[in-house]
Amino acid sequence: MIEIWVEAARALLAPPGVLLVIAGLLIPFVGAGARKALLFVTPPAVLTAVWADPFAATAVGLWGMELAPYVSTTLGRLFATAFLLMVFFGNLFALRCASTAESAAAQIYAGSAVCVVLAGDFLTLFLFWEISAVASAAVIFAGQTSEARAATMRYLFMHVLSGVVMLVGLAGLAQATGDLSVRVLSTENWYARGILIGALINVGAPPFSAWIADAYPRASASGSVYLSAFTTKASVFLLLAVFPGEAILIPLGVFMIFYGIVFALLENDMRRILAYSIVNQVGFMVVGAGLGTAAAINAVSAHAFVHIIYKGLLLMSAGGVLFVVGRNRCSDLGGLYKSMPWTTAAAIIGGASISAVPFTSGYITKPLALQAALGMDMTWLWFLLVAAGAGVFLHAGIKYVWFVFFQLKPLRDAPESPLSMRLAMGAFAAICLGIGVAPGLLYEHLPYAVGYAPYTPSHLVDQTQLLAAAAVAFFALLPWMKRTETILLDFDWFYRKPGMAVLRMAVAAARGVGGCVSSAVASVGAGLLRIGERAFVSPRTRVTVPILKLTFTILFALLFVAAYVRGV
Amino acid sequence: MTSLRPLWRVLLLVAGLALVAGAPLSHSGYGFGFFTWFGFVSCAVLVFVARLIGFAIKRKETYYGAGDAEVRDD
Repeated sequence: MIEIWVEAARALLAPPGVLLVIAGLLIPFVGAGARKALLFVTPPAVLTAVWADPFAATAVGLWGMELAPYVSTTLGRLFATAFLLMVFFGNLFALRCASTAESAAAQIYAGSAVCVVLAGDFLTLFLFWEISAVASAAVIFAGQTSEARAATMRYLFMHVLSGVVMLVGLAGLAQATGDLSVRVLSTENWYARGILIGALINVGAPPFSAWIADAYPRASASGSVYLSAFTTKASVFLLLAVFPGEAILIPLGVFMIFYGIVFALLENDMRRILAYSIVNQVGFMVVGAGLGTAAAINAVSAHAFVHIIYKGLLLMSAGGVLFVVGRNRCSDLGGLYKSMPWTTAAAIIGGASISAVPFTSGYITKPLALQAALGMDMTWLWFLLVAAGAGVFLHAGIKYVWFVFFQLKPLRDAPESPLSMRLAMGAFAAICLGIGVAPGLLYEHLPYAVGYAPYTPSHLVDQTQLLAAAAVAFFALLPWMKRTETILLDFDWFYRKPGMAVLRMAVAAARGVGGCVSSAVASVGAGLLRIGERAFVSPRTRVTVPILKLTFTILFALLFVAAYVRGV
Repeated sequence: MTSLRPLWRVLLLVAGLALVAGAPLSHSGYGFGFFTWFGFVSCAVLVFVARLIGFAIKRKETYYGAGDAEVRDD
């Protein structure tokens, strides 16, 4: 019995990311000095551990299963490095504005995401996948507004769904093959489809794209910076590692690309524009995973890495504005470029990077996806990706920067973002430009050799033509993009309006027969209704639903183990 | 910023230079200025589609009851 616990402890402590999880658990119980030490020493320590042994692998035998809780791969190291850069500079950005609870949750969130991308077996992957879901919900919850609390519950609703579907798939995999190692799976098997659907919900694929724009902008100024990096990119990692070349991913990714652009063009909330932009960018990655060739896997890995940095930078600039101005709506902003020049510069560099402006990080990664499409003779996809490239500049490169910092408005008085925020933005801006100027820094760490030269006269001129045309289109069509103080209906409407009506009717029916059946059923129903109302209708909630999530997770984890043991 | 005129000048200059430079340098194989017209048309279509969809899906901020308030509870 003791040996099992020793092995379980070995399995749990093997992945380097666990250090961050432990740091997060300690943060609420230590003083300010020790907290800062944990925030700024742990991520570099984990990064050192990740790179110390490129062939590291830990094998553990547990309950008759061969587990590999930590396997260092080129792909996993690349994702883990981006995650660790994000959490380190995110901590610096958050120094002035994050609560202790948010800092703690963010370390657990980042640490578990690192564990996911370095996991060699599905059991470890799923365990940390779920921990990251609960920790990310806590980051949103720490936004401290009633809207943040309500959004947390809707977020958990989606992630409970994702976790349950994935767990059913994993149980099927364990029972059918007895092999839980992370490997390429064929979706001809039902259990692989379960895992795929779980990953797709987390990646924001249709029809589950709405949760990103619903939840992320509700977090604090620093919370949305953390949130932009981990969940969707860990899911992209899973798609690359387990479902490369899965054809369904191509249309799903294309949908995400254009959905993100169109909704971002309509949106008024600056952080929600960037949230839709996450869906758009992840769409490029999902398409690449669907192509599945070596060139495409390179493209997705490189794009995920630079996206974490430039999207973090864009959300930092938005967080800086929110922190000092206290406004989210584009219709309330504008005219900030003179009073917040550093923050404006950060937004411009982030916007340039996401738009693939030459000499920025996006410029050296976006064409890799285009090349991958051409390499498979998918010219139609190439045309769509080029059009989407122009659309990205339209919504994230120009629209966000223009409406938040410029507009035809009088100059607005505001203090510049605090020094710690500017330092974090400066570091990320330097990475965006550094990778853009010296692509080899990134190319040499990709899973396969790169045969693409970004700085040829032809590529430079073609890209400049595309971006200049997009800029001309933006200002020519500016009257059509006038901001309105509105929200956008999305898929969440189904569970926020008719879903709630159905729940109410069901509870009313239960109450009607309550005398006959039992008042307990009605009480449970009324309790469910209260939780539902708090999540989907009223923002006045103080219920901590992570407990609900944990209960589901533990329940299904037990079912999973039982199914496996029975199968054996 | 009070006028778009200086911005327009810079934009048209860059777009024009890129168009001219593209004639000898671009190897896209889709003809003169392909990325210029294709980029412009793509953006125009996206804005038009967004506007059309916007008529159907835009709602008041209070649609779900609480509005988009960012006021802290305390």
